[in-house]
Amino acid sequence: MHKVGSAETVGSGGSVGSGGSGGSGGPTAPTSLSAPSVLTKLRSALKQVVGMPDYARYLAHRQEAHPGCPLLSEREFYDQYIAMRYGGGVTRCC
Amino acid sequence: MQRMIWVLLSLLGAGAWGVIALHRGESISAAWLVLAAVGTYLVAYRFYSRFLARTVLGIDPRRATPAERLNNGRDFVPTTRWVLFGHHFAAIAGAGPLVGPVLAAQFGYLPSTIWIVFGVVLGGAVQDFVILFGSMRRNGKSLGQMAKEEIGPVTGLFAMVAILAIMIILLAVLALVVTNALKDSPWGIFSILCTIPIALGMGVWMRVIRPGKTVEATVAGILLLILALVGGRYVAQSPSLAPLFTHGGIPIAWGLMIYGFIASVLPVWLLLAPRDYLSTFMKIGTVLLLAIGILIVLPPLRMPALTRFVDGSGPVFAGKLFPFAFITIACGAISGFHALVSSGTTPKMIRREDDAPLIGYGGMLMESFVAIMALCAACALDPGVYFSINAPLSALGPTVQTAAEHIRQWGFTVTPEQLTALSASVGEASLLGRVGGAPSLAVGMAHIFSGAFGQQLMGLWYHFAIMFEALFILTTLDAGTRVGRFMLQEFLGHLWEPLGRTSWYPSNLLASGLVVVAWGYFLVQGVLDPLGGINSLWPLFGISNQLLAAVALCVGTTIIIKAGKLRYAWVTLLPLAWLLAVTLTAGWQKIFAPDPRLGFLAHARDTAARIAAGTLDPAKGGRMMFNDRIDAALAGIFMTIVVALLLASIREWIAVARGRKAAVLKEAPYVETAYA
Repeated sequence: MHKVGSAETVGSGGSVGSGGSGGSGGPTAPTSLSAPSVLTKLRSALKQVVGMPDYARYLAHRQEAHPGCPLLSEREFYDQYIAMRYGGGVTRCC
Repeated sequence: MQRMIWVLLSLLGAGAWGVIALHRGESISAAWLVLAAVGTYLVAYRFYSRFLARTVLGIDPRRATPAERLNNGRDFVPTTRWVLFGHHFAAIAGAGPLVGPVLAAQFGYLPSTIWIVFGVVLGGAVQDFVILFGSMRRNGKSLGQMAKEEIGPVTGLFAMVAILAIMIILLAVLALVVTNALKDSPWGIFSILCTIPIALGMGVWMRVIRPGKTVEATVAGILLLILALVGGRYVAQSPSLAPLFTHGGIPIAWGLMIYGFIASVLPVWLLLAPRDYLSTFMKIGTVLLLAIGILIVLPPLRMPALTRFVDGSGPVFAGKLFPFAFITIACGAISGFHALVSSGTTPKMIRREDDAPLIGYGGMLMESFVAIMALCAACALDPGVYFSINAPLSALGPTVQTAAEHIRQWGFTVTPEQLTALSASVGEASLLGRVGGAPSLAVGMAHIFSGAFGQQLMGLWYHFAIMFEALFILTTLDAGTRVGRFMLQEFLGHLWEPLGRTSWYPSNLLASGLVVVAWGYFLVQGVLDPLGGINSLWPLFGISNQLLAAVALCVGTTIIIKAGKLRYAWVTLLPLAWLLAVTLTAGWQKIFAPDPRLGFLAHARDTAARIAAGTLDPAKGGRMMFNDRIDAALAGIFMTIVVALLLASIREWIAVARGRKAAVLKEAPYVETAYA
């Protein structure tokens, strides 16, 4: 769960530009000090249920798996996610 | 202690079934249907899905899932099991489980209940789970790819053709459902039209104005939808505005085609994504609301357990109980379409292998429950009212008087005054002959909602239900046309390479246009059909959907046999055998039955006779005959594909079972999980 925690802080902090230079941990994504609020968790769950892009989760993943690598901006991530989700197979039944 | 609870639950479910079985001929409460269903689901989930997971498939909690191994924070994301359950359920549940049971209610509530509950436990949930498992072990491969790799390239091609064909028929029949719900309904048309600018506004908001703020945009969108709903009543009552939004079937059908074409070539962020969010929110909300409403009201079922129409003379659609009840209710019992979803986004999001039974098997049980609720809503209506909405005008006659008289001859009582009062209460000029299931479901839902949450709002609840159905059907038209376009482009690319490029705009326009023309053709045919269109299109949809389920079960059986579990292959062979019996019988009857209401060819002969007798305009009759032959050919193609596919699969199974062919599964290699 700590994974989600660190990202939610970033996500709610507003827009994060692309970039994020080297250094372990990544300066664009500070390690979380406080646990995510119930509301933030709920919003994230809702987004996953509906299949909406969840930028906070992306940030959390990048921070954990690829610290220091460049990040997509929120709009870039949105475009890529949408293109992937609706760009091919069947995502919904009748 | 635990054992005691399971014994109690089993007894409760069995007791509810006993009540349903014994109270024939008198009205029972919907509570018994709900209890019997839920009791059966729980026992099946606890015992059968565990047997499938542990013994048949060999789920391994130590094995890392693709979500863990390939985690990219985007499509491959390990997701909490209950959240993923919600995601998967939202993806598989749509108009299908709502419409099918409503149409099949013409046989009475008993056959549909039995099929929905036992069909899902032994068929639909097994299919979804096995395909989800197969795709999860193969890094989220699609059904078509699995068919190609595990059975053979020809099977893969058949699966592709089947998917494209089912898509076309599905889009046509759903568009027909919307057309029938909206024709001559200014309230409905106005509120549905409003969804387009609302979605466009949301799309711009989420991408341009406040990127990524999807939740706030969707909440605002839903508030605007409710405003549009209330505004619709004002429009319908205004003598100057109402005529602007009152249109017949053909203009609406053309409107839907133009919409489908434009929507499918616009960028996805502008219209499709916001529409998808809106309809998913509405879908989850409405299903919850319906469940709460049914539990509060617990309506008595007015429809008999079995009606006389089991003999095949039903006005809603022609054909006997067997096989047509099992074709009409696909989603909710077993739906091949789910195999596409189960091999789509969901397998890439499973966190641990042992989450798969809850998501694959449990998600489908939930959809089955939605079908049971739709059945309750339809059967809680007065049968006379039900038939006045669902029988075509050609069977009812033009007025409430003729309709009441015809319904009396069918053995149900309803007065003309009752019918007039009902349409007035929901703010429509007439509800007679609104075939397709959606309007009668909306009346049933409005009854339940107004019973649970306030009596005064019948009209608003009715149009809320219509809007909710139309909203996600329009989303399906857009998304489905797009999927059809991609598949068509893949085929066309083999003919001339540039046509296969999805980034080349002329190719996109051409392929989208072709897909829209294909479903639009069947849509217009359905609107013009004097028998109501649903009579010919819904069975074709059912057959094609069950055909896809047969493809999925063949793939599932192959996976099980190749894993060395031949002695457990019956878990997929049993539903497969049933589906083959149903699909082939229904297909045969739709083509060759001598009754012109049932058989396509008999209808063509009947039409020819009427032209010869001078009672039918030759041009119109000629078109009808052409349509009959197209429908017959389509049913024939579906049947041929099923048989060919089955033969290819059996050959593979025998080869593997006899050891002539090495049983090699194309699974991704084993990696141990880091999730304890």
